[in-house]
This record gives sequence, structure tokens and C-alpha cells, in this order.
Amino acid sequence: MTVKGSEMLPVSRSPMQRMLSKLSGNPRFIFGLVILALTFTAAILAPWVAPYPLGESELTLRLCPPGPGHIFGCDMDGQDILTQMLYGSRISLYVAFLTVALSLGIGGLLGLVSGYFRGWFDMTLMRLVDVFMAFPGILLALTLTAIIGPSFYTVVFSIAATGWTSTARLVRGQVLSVREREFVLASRALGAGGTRLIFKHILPAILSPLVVHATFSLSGVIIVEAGLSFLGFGARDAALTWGGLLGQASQVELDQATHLALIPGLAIFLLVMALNLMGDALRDALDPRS
Amino acid sequence: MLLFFAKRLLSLIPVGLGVIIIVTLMIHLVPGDPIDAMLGEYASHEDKEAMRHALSLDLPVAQQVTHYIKSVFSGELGSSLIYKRQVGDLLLERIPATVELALCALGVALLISIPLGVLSAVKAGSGIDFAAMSFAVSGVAIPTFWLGPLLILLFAVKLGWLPVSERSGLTSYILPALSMGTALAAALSRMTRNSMLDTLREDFVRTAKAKGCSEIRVIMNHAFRNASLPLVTVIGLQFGVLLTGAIVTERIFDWPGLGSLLIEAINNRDYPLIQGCVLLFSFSYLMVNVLTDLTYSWVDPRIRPSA
Repeated sequence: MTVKGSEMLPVSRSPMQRMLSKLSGNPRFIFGLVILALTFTAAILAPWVAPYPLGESELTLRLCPPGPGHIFGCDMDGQDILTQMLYGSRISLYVAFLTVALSLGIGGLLGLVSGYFRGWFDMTLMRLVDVFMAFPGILLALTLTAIIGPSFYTVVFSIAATGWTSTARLVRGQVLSVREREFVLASRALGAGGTRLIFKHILPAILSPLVVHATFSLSGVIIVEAGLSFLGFGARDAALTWGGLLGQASQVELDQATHLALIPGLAIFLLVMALNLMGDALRDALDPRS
Repeated sequence: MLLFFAKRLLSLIPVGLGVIIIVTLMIHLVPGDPIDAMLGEYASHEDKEAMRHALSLDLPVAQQVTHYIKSVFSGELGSSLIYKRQVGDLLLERIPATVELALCALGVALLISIPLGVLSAVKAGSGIDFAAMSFAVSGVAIPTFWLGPLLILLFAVKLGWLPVSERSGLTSYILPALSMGTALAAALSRMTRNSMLDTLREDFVRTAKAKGCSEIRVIMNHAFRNASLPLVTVIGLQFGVLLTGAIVTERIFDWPGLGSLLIEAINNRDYPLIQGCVLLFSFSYLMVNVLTDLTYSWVDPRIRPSA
């Protein structure tokens, strides 16, 4: 009896292919991806698909409920909510990605150096991380934006000032375990220097947990940004963000502004849930034990 | 054990000191002159200098820090600009409202999450499990500042069952505690489920079953007791989320606690009061973290030798 070789041997696939096949079969990931893609599309196409120009207000339509002409109704200045939400998604996404990039960049670099070289730098950095982590949740971001004055970049800076610590701690921990592994030792024995070891060998090995962390950070930043805007400390020099719209609802009688409380909040909720689901799915897919 | 306690408490000193330094230096981040920001540009020169002296901003930075440390130890924390009273006293007055709210929220979270987590672990894969985990996934994503207004709309405005806001009587605690506790409940349900699933696979659970223990006894006395250990840590870690949740929740429900005091201080540029609130928030967070570690090591002796 002859058996073809390809039936005997499992097809060997790269880790990337295996991960993608796991992710594409995961309904939670697909759901998250669809929501994220929709938000991106809305953000990119805002100027073309928004029914009204941004900033156009009709005071007689103040807080008008959803209906023809204004599918999501109007806000307290008589501006179309759909238009504002389309433009607002740009800021929410921009803040989220910029902040996460900043905190990953700073925290990641410090964590890499700290975990690799250890010694006094590691000691000092970890104590600094402890201090920054002593400010729970949005406290530091809130106080910083309030003190410096709310603007787009203050919001980004303030949230990143809180966010870099968890990345630094995560990366440092990962580096500590990876730097003792055989492939790193082998490459060091071959004469590789610190920079090469860190960026060529250690960084690729710790990318998986970093990707998962980044996904969850995005959802965290979106909530914090919306929370700051809700409290009135969001980016004021740009269009109103989703949190800012929701904040308006708390300034008027709620029964007059049901739509104002419902719609932007729903958008935040869906986006955050989408990112969390994607993070969960990525974690499962990247876990070598699964 | 005592040594572990002492070490853990001592580790608080450098971090606490760091927090005080950041809080002291915060005021220098104010663009321009903080005194102008507080009094307005048109205040008289004498008033400005008097204020600068009162806030010890005329001293070198190092002395400002030591000055502030002294005021932390005396409990005064400077004088509030809007209330014209000592910040320490103001904070003391507001602590009970926030602590009560946080405890109620914690209670709500435990009441929801433990039965839900245990049930979904025992019935893993069933419809109940799916529903419970859907709650866990969505509960974590619901922002407090959305849930709060929604709860008010439903239970206070439409149904009229509960008061809208203000702290008066037991019923007024329900909505704020729910909106603050839901995210924690969601996180804890998931944790309880995972931890229970792990424990239910353990040998001692099988032994207990083999010895003829009733199902409920195995679940509660054998499995849950052990599965509840990681919950202690999660509750401790999530306490920070609860604390800052208070800032948003108190704003929504007009709750006279520390969160609304902080917002009031920020809106009035009352820097000494802002500093006091931030300091109290982070110190209580630090203390809860230490208590969590201590509780954990007390409940689980395996932790101690590594200390």
C-alpha cells in the first residue's frame, strides 16, 4: 500500500499562518474586527458621508430627537449628532492610536533597556514605575489635563504619562525571562552586541504579549479619553469627541436628551468591546499552549 | 510573617515619597504663573505675593517638597482657596461618602459575580455559562459615564422607582453603587469562573466527590474556598478602578464625596485642594495594595517564603 507523503506529514505552517487561521475561525475576533473597520471607515469618510457640515447649528433644533433629517437627533447647540459622531470618531481613534504608540514606544524602550542591562537603571526605573502606578486609573491623566489645560496634545500626553508604566513593567518581565534562553545565549556567544541582541533577538520573541497588551491598551485609552471628555477635560480645540457628546447629556435634563445619552455611549461601548474581544482572541491565538 | 509585613510596609516609604514629590511639583506644570491662574492677571501685586508665600512657591523647589511633607504629617495639607479652610479637614468630611459608595459598589460586585462565576463554572458550556460570560465581556466595556445616565433614565426618570441623585436614604445608594460596581462585577465573574474551573479539576475535589460529599458541599466548601484566593488579588487591584470610578460616578449622581471635591477643586483652580485630593486617592490606593498583599499571604501561606 502506498500512501502519498503529503497525507502522512502534517503541512508545516509558519507561526503567522497558524495564528491567522486561528483568528479567522474565531467569531469574537471577526466581530471585533468588523466594528473596528466600521469605525475606521466612518473616521476616514467623515467629510464625504456626514449629512451636514461640521459646526453647522440650528438653535431651533436644540436637542431634537432622532427623526428624518437628523437620524441621531441634535445636541444642545442644535448640531446634528451623526455628523459630530463621524468627526468625533477621528479624534477618538487618533488619540487612542497616538497615545498607545507613545506609551508603547517609551515604555517598551525603557522596559527593554531595564530588563536587559538590569543594575541601577533597572532599580531606578522600577521604583519610578511604582510611583506612577500609585496613581489609580484616570487620576493622573485627569489632574494633568486639568492643570496643563485641556487640549488635544495635553490629553495624549497625560494618558501616555500614565500608560507607559504598564508597558515598561510587562516588557521588562518578558526580557528577563527571554534573555536567559538558549538562542540569546548562543547569539551572544557568537559575539552579538547589546543593541543587536535587544532588537534582533529579544524584541521579536516578546512581540506576542506586546501585541495583546497594545490591543487592550487601545480600549483602555478610548475609555479614559471619553471619561476625560465627559468630565469636561477633553480635547477642546478639536471637534467634540464621543465622550464630550455624552457629557452634554449630563448638563441637561436627562429625559429631554435620551438620545444624547444613548447614542454616543453605545458607540464607545461597542468600540471598547470590539477591542477587548480582539485582545482576547489574539491572546488565545498567540498562546503557544493553546 | 512579621518580617514580611514589615518589609512590605517599609516598601511604601519610597513610593509614598515619590508620590508626594510628584504632587508637589504638579503645580509647576501650570502654563505661565500658577498664581495668575488662581487669582487672575489683574490681582494686585501684594495679593499675588501673599498667595505665593502662602503656597510656599517663593521657596526653592526642594524646600517646597519638605514643606509639603511636613504639612502631610501634620494632616493640614495647606489651605483651600475656595473654602478658606484646611484641606485636611475638607478631605476628612468627604471621606465617608466615598468610602460608603465604594463599599456598596464592592458589595454589589461580589453579590453579582460570585454566584454568576461559580454557576457558570459548574455549568461550563451551557446557556447559563454563555449568558454569564456575555455579561462579563460587555460589563467590562460599559463605561461608567454611560451606565450611570442609562440607569437614571430607566429607574429614576421612566419608572420612578429610585431617586435620581443626592445622598439621602438607603435607596439613593442603589443606582450609584450599581453603575460603579458593574465593571468590577464583570471582571470578577470571569475571574471566579476561571479560578473555579481550575480548582474543580484538582485531585482533592475528586477525592471529596469520591468520599460521597454532596455536590453543593464540594462546590462551596472544597472548590470555592480555594478558588476564591485569586479573587483577593483582583479585588485589590481593581480597587483603584473603583476609586477613580468614584470620580465619574459622583459627578453623575451629585454625590458629596472626594471625587466631586476633586472636580470642584479643578474647576476652581484650587491647587492645594487638588493636591490634597490626588494625594489621598493615591495613598489609599497604595494602602489597599499593601493590605491585599498581606491578606493574600495570610490566607495562602505558600506566598510567604518568597518574600
